[in-house]
Amino acid sequence: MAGSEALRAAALLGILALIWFNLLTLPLLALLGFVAVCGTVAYSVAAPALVPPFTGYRPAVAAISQLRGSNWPRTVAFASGPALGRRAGRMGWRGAGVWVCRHAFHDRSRSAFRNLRTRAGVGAEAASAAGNPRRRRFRCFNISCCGRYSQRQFIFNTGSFLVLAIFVPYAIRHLGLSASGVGTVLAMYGVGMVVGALSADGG
Amino acid sequence: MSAVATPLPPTFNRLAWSNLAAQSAEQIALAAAPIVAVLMLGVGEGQTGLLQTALTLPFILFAMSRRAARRPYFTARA
Repeated sequence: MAGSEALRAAALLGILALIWFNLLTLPLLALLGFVAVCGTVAYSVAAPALVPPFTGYRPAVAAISQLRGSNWPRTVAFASGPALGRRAGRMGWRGAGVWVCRHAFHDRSRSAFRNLRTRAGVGAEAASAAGNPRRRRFRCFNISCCGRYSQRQFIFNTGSFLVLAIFVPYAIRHLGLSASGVGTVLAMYGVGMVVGALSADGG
Repeated sequence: MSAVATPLPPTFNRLAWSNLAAQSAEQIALAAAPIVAVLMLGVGEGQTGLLQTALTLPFILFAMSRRAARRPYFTARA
């Protein structure tokens, strides 16, 4: 995990250095961003794996769900990212402030899908019901139900990805928004994510 | 849904806080990328989409590698 974080820090420092020396190009930005996201993914995979040694096996399930399932830290991160980016833009930092939406969309859909699986019993109940024909049919129904749900989520996420892919250039060029304006719009989006997460956790 | 009965150890809380910090840093960095691309490099909508694709690619690649690693397990159970 420390290595993945160091990799991400090195990639981000590389981007800053290229900006500083006025050598940044789109391929270099994409390459260094790719490397940074690789570090992020490695960290995200490794973090839940550390939970069982910390908590023991039985509390580990609840702890992992607290770390990943409730999505509170991530949702707060999604919401605060554009707000901080907007602040950075005001400080003349050339901005920061977007992307959050796409990841927030992904995580909300994953969370909703997980809730649906829990309610439908696809996880624990279906695993314990192997061998029983009636329960196996029920499990197949649940899986097909979740499959349709995931298909809809795929279409929904693809649509949101396409919209957000052109949001920043469209907002800057056609709507005349600055980096702080884009960050403000996305901060409002993040607030909606927090409200959604709160209402989902309360329900 | 039942609540967690036993309090989680401090090491887990430190891990959770580090997770929050890491996710926040990730989102701030990812948020800045398209704005930098548009404002400093003057790229258009299509190139911004390509940039986003490059930044999303690790999630897909890691997911594919995890599925590939899991496949023999499911094959054995089937």
